[in-house]
Amino acid sequence: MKRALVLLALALISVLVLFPSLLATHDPFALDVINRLKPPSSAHFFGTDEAGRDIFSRVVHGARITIGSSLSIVACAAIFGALIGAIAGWFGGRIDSYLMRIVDVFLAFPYLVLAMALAASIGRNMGSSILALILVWWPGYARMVRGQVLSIKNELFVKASRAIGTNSSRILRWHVIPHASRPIVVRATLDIGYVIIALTGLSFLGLGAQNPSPEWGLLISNAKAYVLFGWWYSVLPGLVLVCVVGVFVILGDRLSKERE
Amino acid sequence: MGAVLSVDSLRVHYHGTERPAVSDISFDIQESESLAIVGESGSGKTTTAMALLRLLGPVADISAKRLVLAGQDFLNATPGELRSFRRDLIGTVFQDPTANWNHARRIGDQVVQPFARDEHEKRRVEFIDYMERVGIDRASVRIDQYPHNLSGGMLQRAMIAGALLGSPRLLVADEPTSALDVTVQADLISLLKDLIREHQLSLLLISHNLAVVSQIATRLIVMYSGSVVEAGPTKDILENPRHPYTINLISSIPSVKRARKVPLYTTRSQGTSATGCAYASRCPIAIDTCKSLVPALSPNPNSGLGPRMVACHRHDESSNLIQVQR
Amino acid sequence: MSALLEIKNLNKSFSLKIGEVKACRNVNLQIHAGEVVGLVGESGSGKSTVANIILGLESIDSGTIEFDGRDLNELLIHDQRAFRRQVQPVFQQPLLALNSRRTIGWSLQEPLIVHGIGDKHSRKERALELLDQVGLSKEHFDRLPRQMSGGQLQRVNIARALAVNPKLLICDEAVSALDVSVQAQIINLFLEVQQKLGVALLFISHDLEVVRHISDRIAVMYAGTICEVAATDEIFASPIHPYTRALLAASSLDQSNQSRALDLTKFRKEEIPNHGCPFAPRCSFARELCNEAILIQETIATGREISCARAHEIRE
Repeated sequence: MKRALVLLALALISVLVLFPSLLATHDPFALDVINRLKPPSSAHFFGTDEAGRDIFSRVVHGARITIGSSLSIVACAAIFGALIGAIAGWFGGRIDSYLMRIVDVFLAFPYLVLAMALAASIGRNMGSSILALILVWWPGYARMVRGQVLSIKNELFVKASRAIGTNSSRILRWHVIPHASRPIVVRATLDIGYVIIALTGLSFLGLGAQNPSPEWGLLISNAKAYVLFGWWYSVLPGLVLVCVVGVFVILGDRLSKERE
Repeated sequence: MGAVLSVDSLRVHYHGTERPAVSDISFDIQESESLAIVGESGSGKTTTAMALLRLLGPVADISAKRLVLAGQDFLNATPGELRSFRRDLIGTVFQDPTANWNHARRIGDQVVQPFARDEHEKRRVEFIDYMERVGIDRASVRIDQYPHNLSGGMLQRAMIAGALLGSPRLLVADEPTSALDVTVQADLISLLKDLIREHQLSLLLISHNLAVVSQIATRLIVMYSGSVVEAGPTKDILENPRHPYTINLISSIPSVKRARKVPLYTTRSQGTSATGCAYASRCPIAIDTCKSLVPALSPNPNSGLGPRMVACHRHDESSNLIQVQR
Repeated sequence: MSALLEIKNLNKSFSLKIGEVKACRNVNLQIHAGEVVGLVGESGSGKSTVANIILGLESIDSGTIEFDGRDLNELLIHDQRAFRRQVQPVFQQPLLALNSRRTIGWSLQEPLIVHGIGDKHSRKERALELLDQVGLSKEHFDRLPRQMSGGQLQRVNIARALAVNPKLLICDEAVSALDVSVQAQIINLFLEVQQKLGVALLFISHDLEVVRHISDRIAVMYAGTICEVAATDEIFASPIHPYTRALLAASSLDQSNQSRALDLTKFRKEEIPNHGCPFAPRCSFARELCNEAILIQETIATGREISCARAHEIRE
């Protein structure tokens, strides 16, 4: 039962991200100042914002930005981090030391400070926030994959492969990485949820998305001025955000418990 | 009564499995007697030992008509009573020395822990005594060391020393030597024999190694797939096995007495029959009755060394039909 | 007859926390084509290190290994790959030696792909042929390791080792983790491999009786040195080296040889001396010279080698 719900939710999210126009009822950028701050109704499911725009449609279009960016961040961090980790773990020695010192440097960075620094240099936009998050997220994967590779390296079937005559690159491709990949997928799934929160947080603070983007963090940030007069403006998008993050966290959790 | 261990119709069924791991096993051990249970993996020998000591936990259902160890009823005792029975009446030695010690605690602390606090000092002295007896050097220093400071052989000796604390009447040893080097093993076996004689202990030995068993145990029980297939004096069984499984087992083991480089006896088919005798599907002399009717343990004419039981419909003729290859 | 594999004066040490451990000290060993050489020793004897070195899993500190008369150190990369093909492993744990996520069929084809043998179609044919050779059936091709028993998996490992038609199999405790009845089956399979395919075996084990059953010649190792090498029957009938005698006495079923046994109660592994004979502290025949003499593995008769300073005197 639970599994079906999770799959359904994932399907819905996919549609949101890929085909927002299907679900959206209005143009997310269409201004209609006369109808500003109207409560939810059959015409506007989530009500309207301070410029009369349909909040529901903005949420739908914002999904693509928020979720899409988060997925990209996690994918880049995971792939890059796994690569570095695998090289460090497999070759060991100096390569391992140098790479891990670099990892340590990045691990020490708080993402907020980095995002602010990047925003100051590159400019305040989604690009700088995405970059900041990738830079801060990849070391975790490197660490994890390095540990995995170190232990898989000593497994008997890897030893057997080496004795048979298989070279390093094939062993990595055929044996090591497939065994290390499951934990990567689990962690990545969980991370999507956390990255969404981090990303929306940055936008909320004014660092990432800029107006008039319907990105969720920005949306909710704009809504904070109207908390008393327009509860629907912050609460409803907020609920959607919570649900989406929840889906990824639950999915990641279930994946982590599944045994092969 | 004299019997240090008396088991009647023990049955063990692990939850979620189709067949019981142990079906209706009965045997006893007299004072100063050494009995070995022999079998391969899946035979139920370790399950039997664990079940007797009530160490299996909630994963299995245990039933028996009678389960008495050192005069105490193990079947109906409370967990608290069982703990004190095990501590005072029974010594246990398990298979893998490195796995059975807590590596984070000193060996002395671990061994005296089950006893009452006011007894700890006394037990420490006793433990040092026994450690010396089993051949551990500098025992008074070793007692405060951690398991990783001792070799496998020494850890096993230490476990034997610990098992002797409190003067138990029964020693239960599950594969006590299989993780050890053969020279260490030989030593440990003769040590066990000495201790058994000195302390008038009874021994229940679980093993798959017929060589070890032949050196220590006076009586032997052969198990296959949860049931006893043959029981009797060790020497008699090893020289004159009657059950086809025992015959084939002995034939599969290379030995210095046999010709080299010739194929050993094996059966190609694996597994257990669902009805009738569990060995029927692998037995070279199985007949129809064997597949439908479970053979009971019946007496077989003995050689004068003690009563012999065999669970085989054809036990009268088996030794004529199958030659033990040596 | 020149040897297929010849190890000369092999030395290998490991730096561990407790200090330097000499895993191999001046090891000399020959394996001829088609013969089974048993390598016995207890834990810490160095027998697995010898196996790992031959299989290319460990480096050498000093010494040479010659295969078919050619020194391995002087082989070019291309030839090194060719050498790997001639020597294949069978390890102790049947399940762990296979990639749990790959089918049996895939694992059987791995050596073929690695050594560039055949194409997709012929490799599959070969894999099926191998399954048949070791007594398994076609349906095992698509199975995963966890779906099969220990005995079956060890057959798979043997099949995989035979895939590229090697001349030598290195079997490191290949039957030690198996039940007695399954062990018998695999022992029979090894005998068949030698007899029908003419493959040589280096059979490493701590179980003397198994080694006796399968080997043509036996080498006994202790603390990194080869104590004694002789034809199987000779080693059992008239062992010379004190350690060989102790080992035989400790493993035999009958008690009559107890007088040859050692009192090993007080022995500590850290006490193995770094010079002289490593067995001297425990040896009832030891004399002063045993602690000082440089131990050499000498041939005292045809096919009979021994590393003992007092060999000539001890021989009755």
